[in-house]
Amino acid sequence: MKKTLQLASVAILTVAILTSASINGYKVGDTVKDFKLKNIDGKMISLSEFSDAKGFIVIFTCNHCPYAKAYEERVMALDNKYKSKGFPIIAINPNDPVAVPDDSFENMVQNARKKGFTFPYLMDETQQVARQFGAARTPHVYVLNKTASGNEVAYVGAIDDNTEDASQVKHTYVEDAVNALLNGKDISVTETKAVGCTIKWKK
Amino acid sequence: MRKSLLIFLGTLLSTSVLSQELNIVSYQELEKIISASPGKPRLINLWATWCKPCVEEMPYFLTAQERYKDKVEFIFVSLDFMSQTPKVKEMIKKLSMQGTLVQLNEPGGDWINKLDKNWSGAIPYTVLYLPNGEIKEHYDAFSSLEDLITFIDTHFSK
Repeated sequence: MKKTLQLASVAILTVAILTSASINGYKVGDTVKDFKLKNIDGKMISLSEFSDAKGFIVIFTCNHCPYAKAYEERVMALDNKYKSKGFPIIAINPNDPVAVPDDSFENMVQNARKKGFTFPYLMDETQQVARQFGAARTPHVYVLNKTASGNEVAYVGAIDDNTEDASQVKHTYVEDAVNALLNGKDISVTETKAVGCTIKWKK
Repeated sequence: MRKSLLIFLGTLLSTSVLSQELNIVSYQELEKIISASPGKPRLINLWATWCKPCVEEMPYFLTAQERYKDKVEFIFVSLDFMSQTPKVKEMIKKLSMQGTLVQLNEPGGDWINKLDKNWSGAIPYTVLYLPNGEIKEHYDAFSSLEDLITFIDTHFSK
């Protein structure tokens, strides 16, 4: 009886921990669990493969969402600017292609080819990675800083403060965060929000 | 003459209550609109013309708006880009939307936490402001009219 109770409480605790992780996701300061996802070239990719990286700009994005589209060129510019400095872009599409056919793997390949993506564009087929991160929308960015204990979340949120018009941007949040990490300084804004499209979860 | 003027004014007033007019507002102005009727529950729906689930659930809102006439204030906030205003107006006509219709002119996301700190910024999103100051969120789209009615009724009994 006692054992059953113990087991039950362990089970409840496990469920509680799992649920809280999936609801809240990663916060600034949390260490990210590595993942293995299929890239548009068919190869599986993990963060651990990037031995030279000092960190990552992980962005949950997709093909169909106008807010994600509005940022495609800026994401390419970020990769162009920061990959060589040790912070490559890792783009992840978390959407269920059954809900949004535009976000299928084939369409990811096509979109990346058409736009000339220079970074991995991964399919989160089980949506497990998006749940782990606590991604809620596309686009949704996590800047990770590689430390001795793992990849630590340094910034969560928007790319900058003007989705529609890149020329009107006043705060380049992601750039500012990466620059601060590169210069060993504190990041002044570690969390922002932006309007985006809901992640289309499997039903 | 006087009577016809009254009728004219009356018509003007009633059309302004249920107009199809779209106003472009800042977040500060939206806050004023929301707080203009503190005694009433206010259902604020954030949508955009390109957002498929938003457009799909809109008929539920329009039916509910009819059903809760005078009891719940419906406020529809388009988050389309400012260059898309003509499209928003087109969609308002096409769906026969009426009432408080605004397009939010905020290029960044600073306002999101002011509206609801628990909201991620992803649309569709609906929030019910209750007269007692409580706010009730609904993330993602409503799956049916019943789903929306249940949401309203759970938090607000007529």
